Amino acid sequence: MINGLYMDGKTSKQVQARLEVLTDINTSINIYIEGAPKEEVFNLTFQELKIESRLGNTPREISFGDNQLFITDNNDAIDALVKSQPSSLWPRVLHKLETSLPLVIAATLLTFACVWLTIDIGIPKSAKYIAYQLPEFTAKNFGSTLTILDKTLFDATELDLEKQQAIHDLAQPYLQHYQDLNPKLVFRSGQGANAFALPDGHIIFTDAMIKLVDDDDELLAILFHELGHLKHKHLIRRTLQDSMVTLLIILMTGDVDGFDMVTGIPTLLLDLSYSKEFEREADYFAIQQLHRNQLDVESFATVMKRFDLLYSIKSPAEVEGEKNDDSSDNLETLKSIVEFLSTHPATHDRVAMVAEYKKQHKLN
Amino acid sequence: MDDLTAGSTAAPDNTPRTLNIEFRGNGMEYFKIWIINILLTALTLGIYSAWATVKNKRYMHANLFLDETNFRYLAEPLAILKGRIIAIAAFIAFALLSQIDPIVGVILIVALVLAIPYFTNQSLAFDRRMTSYNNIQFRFKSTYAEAFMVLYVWPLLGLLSLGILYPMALLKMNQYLVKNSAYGTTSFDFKASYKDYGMIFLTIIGAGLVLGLPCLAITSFFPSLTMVTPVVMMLGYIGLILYFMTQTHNLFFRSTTLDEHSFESQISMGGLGLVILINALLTMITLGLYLPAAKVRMAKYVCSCVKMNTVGCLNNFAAAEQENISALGEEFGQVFDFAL
Repeated sequence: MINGLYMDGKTSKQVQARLEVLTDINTSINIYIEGAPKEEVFNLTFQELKIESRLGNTPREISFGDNQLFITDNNDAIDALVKSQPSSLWPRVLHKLETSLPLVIAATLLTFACVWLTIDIGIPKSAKYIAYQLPEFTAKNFGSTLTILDKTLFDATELDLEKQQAIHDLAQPYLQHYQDLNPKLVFRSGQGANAFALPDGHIIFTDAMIKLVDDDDELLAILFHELGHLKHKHLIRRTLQDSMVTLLIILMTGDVDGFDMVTGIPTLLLDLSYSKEFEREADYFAIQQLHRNQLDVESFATVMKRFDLLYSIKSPAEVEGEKNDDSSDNLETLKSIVEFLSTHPATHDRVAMVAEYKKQHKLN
Repeated sequence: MDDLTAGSTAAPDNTPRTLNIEFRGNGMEYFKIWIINILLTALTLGIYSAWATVKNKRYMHANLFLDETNFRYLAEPLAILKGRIIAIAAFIAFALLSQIDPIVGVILIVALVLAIPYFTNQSLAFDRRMTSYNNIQFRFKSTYAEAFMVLYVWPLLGLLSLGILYPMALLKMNQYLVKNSAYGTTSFDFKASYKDYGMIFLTIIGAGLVLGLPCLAITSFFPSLTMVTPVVMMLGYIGLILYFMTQTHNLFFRSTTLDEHSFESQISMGGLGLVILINALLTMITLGLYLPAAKVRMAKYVCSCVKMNTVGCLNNFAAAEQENISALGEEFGQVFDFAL
């Protein structure tokens, strides 16, 4: 006999009730509803009952008939009843999983592994696959992006036409190798010393960037870096990856709301980490292209250092990678945090990549 | 078994009673369910997430007790899965299309903005419908126009009037949430006024000035103390946010009525602040593993502060007729992040 409460589904009235299992010929279940002057009884087969799966120690819900409900605290007795009947095994396996401490610890570790694999391999790999599967017209239709950027971020270039033509002439022979990427070199002012690659093939150099570079090789190094972004479809991949991370976090924490910080910070950190990975890929592409075109690969390192000098208050010695004795540990920690929170890899890493490349390819 | 006694039948009619609202969940118990949910979601590439959602919501509902009777969450995982698949497909299409062509992107955003009031109504209707107490389901019925006003027009007026109408926007939002909700066939009512919300805002502005001006003065006259003021400002800012949260929550409960039944709420700044602080710290230290326990802690605290004042018993509410609402609105809200 299992004691509980009965509600008829028409009003919110609760009535004391009890459930009894009869095992004469076929198993049948009687639910007795207390009531004055006399008791009401429902005679039901096991199949007519919809018994909710067990969830912690919350009251067990058994619905039947037309929205009628019997609830009881006696979870164990209901479990015994369910077990005695031919019913699916899964709910019981699940309850075992959800209550056994060793299994839960194993699940926690497995979950960490799964999440790590998804973030580190699953998302980048599938974003790459999707980006290359997208039909060609997708990238071409980005055309109006530049129009919007012109209205919002950029002003017209202040470079004279001669200078522009000279750069076009310099770049043209190299751009020709990448007709499939549809590269178009344009100049704008604003946004500091910077270069951008839009998915439709526009490569934007800002005036300050042109001023920053010292010679043609350095300019080409930057151009190759941007071509690398185009070649590897970085912008589309980053968008895809960020969407996937958002979905992953919603799936994991969507039901535990109220902590925007907790879900927002990982999204941001992952985006930064993905961004750095793409920059490294573009850097490597640039170094490779410099080498292949018999240009000085060192010019990539030079322009990176120059770039760093422009945007930091570091001494030239520090940029060269020499340890500055005065810098305290605190400053070092602060620096590594800044690097961690940045979209681009640290300059000394980018410079080191050039050195590594030279070593591998036995260049001077 | 002692918990489930039909206590309310014993009480004679029209006797005022104060009923406790209690959350009986347990952090560790919920953690186990939650982590298995996440693991199975990961192993099934997200498909199990619909079952996980139902489990999580069932846990939160089933442990919420009013007058020794718990709430229930009734949604079927398959309904949620269906809505979720459609919403995610729409989200991916949205993200890609707006990348391809900014013009299409703008059109899509306008379409989404126009669709949000509809989906918000659907989402609330689904959520209320799937919540039941004493085997009677809640419901929610509103119009597109009202949702549109509450989501866009009132906040915009609040902004344009330099905040003077912002308390009104908040009032309208809560009226929308409460007055359109019903328990069975009985509608909830919301009795707060513009003045109630206005006072909260005035207090915050006043306190902000009392705190902010001296800080400004100190910074300009004693530059050596400049390091102190950001700390004071930060603490003051947190204090004001806590004040706003507690006051609006308390006002929300105190203003809500169901027939002659009403609620009282005593959420305090210290109590809520402590819960948030402990939750945030432990969640960070445990890399997020504390999230479910944090949710339990928060639910326990809020429930311990809320009471229901009843007149007579809660036995006479009648069920409304059945109607079907898909989970699409709910899932759209989740994926596009506009859930209320």
